[in-house]
Amino acid sequence: MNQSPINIDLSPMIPELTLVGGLLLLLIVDLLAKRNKGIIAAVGGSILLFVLMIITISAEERVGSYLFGTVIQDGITVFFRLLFCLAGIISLGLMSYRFKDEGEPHLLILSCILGMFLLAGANDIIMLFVAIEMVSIPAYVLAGYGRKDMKSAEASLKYVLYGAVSSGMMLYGFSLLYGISGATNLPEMAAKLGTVSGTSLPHVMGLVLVFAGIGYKIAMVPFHFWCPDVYEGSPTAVTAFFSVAPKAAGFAALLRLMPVYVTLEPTYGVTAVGMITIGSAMTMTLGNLGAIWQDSVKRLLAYSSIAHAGYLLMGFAVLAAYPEGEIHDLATAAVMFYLVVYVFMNLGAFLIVDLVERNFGGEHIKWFRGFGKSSPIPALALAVFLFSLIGLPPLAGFIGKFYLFSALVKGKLFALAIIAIANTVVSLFYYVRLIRDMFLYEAEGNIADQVAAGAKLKTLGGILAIVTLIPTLVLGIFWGQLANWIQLKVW
Amino acid sequence: MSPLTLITFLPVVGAAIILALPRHNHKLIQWTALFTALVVLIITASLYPQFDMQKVGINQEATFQFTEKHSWIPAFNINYHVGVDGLSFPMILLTALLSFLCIPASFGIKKGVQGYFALFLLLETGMMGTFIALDFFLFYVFWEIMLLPMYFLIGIWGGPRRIYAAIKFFLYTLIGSVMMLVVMLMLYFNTIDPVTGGHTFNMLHMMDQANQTGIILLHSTRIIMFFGLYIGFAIKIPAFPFHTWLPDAHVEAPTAISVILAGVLLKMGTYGIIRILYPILPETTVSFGWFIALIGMINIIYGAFCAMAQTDLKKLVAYSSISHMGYVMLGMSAFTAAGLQGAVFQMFNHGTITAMLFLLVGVIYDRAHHRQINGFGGLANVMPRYMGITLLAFFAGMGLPGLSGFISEAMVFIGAFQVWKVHTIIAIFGIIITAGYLLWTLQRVFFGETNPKYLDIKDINGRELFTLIPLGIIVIFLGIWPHPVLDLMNSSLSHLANMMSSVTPL
Repeated sequence: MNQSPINIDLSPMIPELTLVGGLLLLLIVDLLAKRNKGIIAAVGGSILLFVLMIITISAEERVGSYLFGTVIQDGITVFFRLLFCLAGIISLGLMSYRFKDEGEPHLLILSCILGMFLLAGANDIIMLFVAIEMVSIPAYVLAGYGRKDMKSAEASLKYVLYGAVSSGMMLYGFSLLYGISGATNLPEMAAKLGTVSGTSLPHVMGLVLVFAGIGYKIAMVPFHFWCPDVYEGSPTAVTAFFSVAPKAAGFAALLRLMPVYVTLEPTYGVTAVGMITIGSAMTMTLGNLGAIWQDSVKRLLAYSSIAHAGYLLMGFAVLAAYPEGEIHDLATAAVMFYLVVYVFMNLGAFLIVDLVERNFGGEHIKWFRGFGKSSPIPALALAVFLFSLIGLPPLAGFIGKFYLFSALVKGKLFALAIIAIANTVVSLFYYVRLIRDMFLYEAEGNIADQVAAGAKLKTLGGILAIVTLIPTLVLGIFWGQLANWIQLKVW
Repeated sequence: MSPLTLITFLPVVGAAIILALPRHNHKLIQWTALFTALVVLIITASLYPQFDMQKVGINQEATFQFTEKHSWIPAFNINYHVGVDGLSFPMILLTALLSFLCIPASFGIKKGVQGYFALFLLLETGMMGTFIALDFFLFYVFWEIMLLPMYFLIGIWGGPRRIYAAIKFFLYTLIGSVMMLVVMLMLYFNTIDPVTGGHTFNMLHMMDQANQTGIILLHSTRIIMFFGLYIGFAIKIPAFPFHTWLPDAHVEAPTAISVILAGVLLKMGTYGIIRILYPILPETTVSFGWFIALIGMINIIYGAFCAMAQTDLKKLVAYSSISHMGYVMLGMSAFTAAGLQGAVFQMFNHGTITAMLFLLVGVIYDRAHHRQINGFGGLANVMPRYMGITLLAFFAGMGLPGLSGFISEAMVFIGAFQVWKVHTIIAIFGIIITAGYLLWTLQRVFFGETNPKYLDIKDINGRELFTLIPLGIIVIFLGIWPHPVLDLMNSSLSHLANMMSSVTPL
């Protein structure tokens, strides 16, 4: 180990370094700018993310592990980085409506994405933990950015408290795992844990605690309590970002941790498949049941995003049951495909909810009654996103579900498939309830005039709607290309 | 390009054009919709002389007609694969005809005309696609595409309880289709494409038992898959006990949508059973033949009794549909050529007859604004032409000789009696109950004292006659000379009957 630090090859870190450089540059520009700070930051940030996508794609071939094995670059890294950039660009567009004169929220999103970039390549528990914190801390600040809004302050505080607990649990879990295996590097840890015969209690405890920690991040039941409150309290544009990007990051972390999980032997009655299956089943069921009663559309979408985390966990159950082979790759591809689709349809849905909130001053379901009549185009777009979230063909959401169901059926996890079927039917209730209120109901008495004035998607909103709507429609019919591309990334 | 692709996607093009037209120009929108549906009807009808009645189809890819096959999603070996045989061709004829006739029947709609006709044409695409798809994935996509327009068509343009009825329809159908999805995936992962060696969604490959491998060969799995698919289709038929959405949907739906619902959508349930369940899981299906026959019998008797108890004319027709779809199930449960032909012919005939019945209910509802059977009386005096056509439709519904319903019902009974004697004997009483409620209704609506409220009610008008007369002619013509339709399906269904009789039940 004579390697001097100066000789470390930093080239795999180029995307991160570019991001840091760009971030600093934008910070200076933000200080110098007089007005429209938010718009400058959003445009600059989008350009930066776009450049990062190009860098990521051009460095695609550079597969391997770097920096003493703490960072890995493979197809999955590339995939997640591109996904985060995409979600970031759309979110920045949405943010620039709300934060026209403030640059900081946009820069916070960029710093969140910096953490996600590290997370996508993390191959070591320390790196993983640092990356997760780098995603979380800017997110706590963002949640509280609706400064004059009590709910936003509450959301921020809740997010911090729950986040701190989850980080603590995860860290404790990691320390236990390190204690048994003596390794921080994930593949090494998995190998060491695999050779230990039988599963010891600290091993089980460690994995359960880490799972709980990740469970908080992805809002898995029973660690989801923060989610509806934080989503409701945060500014809508921020909520949109939260509902996709940090969640996808949590799944990316879980994907990296899977080899460690499959070392679990059922000595204490806990297996990775069992743990994830139960988590998945509870998450989707409670998410969907919770959504039925919501009158705040943001809360409704919060519960719906919990349910979608449950659907995504189904893929992980298959991954746990099949540590390698064809079924493993199919499940990985299914999870990744679903995440892409989910980014588009969920951000799209939030885009329209944000439009309603900006125009009418609220996102209670009453503002949506008669919305279909006064503003047919945004309402139709929202209906498409919601139908896609249900998973009806010929929309992208159906293909996402189809992919996940394929993995389940191929992996013979029929019980989970049946629970997912029941959940799909339940989810129809609340999504269609919103659609029904938009198209089938008239606006209510005292707010009728306001709703009748309607809301229009202006230039930026129109562009964002097109950016989210076209993939939601096209990926429902021509998804072969994306499926092929993802499969290349998995293998 | 296959003409089938044309008739499937032309309505979507029409819908897109309608959405581009000025919103308030109702005339233009209506005529564009009519023109689109007319072109589809003409193309479909022009296929009739080209259709080779000797080719069997069913499980032989080479003998499907007007086929088209493109790779759609190579990663999953999904193809855009369409074609027709003697089973699906009568269904696309029916779809094209009813879709066309329903457009003038919807000219009375005043609210949201643009959206209505665009959704209606989208629905036509879904229906056509379902009948021509030979790839299970494609079939599923089209099957689901029908849900959305139907939800909005009932939910926006329906009656007072439309919102409840629409969501009920949506939920029931979705439950069925998600179950179908899982069975579809089980079949996919356990079917080997004989050419490439990979998995396949091609229905025709799934039908070849030699291609099936793995867990779907187990009897227990096959029974689960049978019921998964059966429930998916039975909800659509709707078979007892999944029928409760139908009366609600029918009562609330606007007239034209009721016609499409009863005339075409219900057929998809029985079509799916014959097209998918029979050839893919033949021995399981044969083992559960008694079950299909039993449900068919219950549908006939129970539907007829329910119809008799109704006071709402439209609900009566809705229950009569349940009863009449029971004949289809009874006929196809026999697995004989006669039974199957009777069943498919009954599907076609029920489509035309029930369309007439719903249109007739619509005519009277437009005038009286209610549908209470006891609220009329003596209409024979004031609406003689209306009564004439109603008599024809009611007699056809009763299965009176000389009208098309008689032939298909007789074939069903002849076919079924050879196999299911008890079921058939009980089911035959359904004819008597049917005659009972229809005659009783005729008597209450048309005879007796004329209700003074309706003394100056207008008789049926030209537009309404335009939609009813073609159906009336078909009903009479096929009652006397059924061969134009029967010959279409003869070789295909005989082949299917042979396939089914050659398997050994479990």
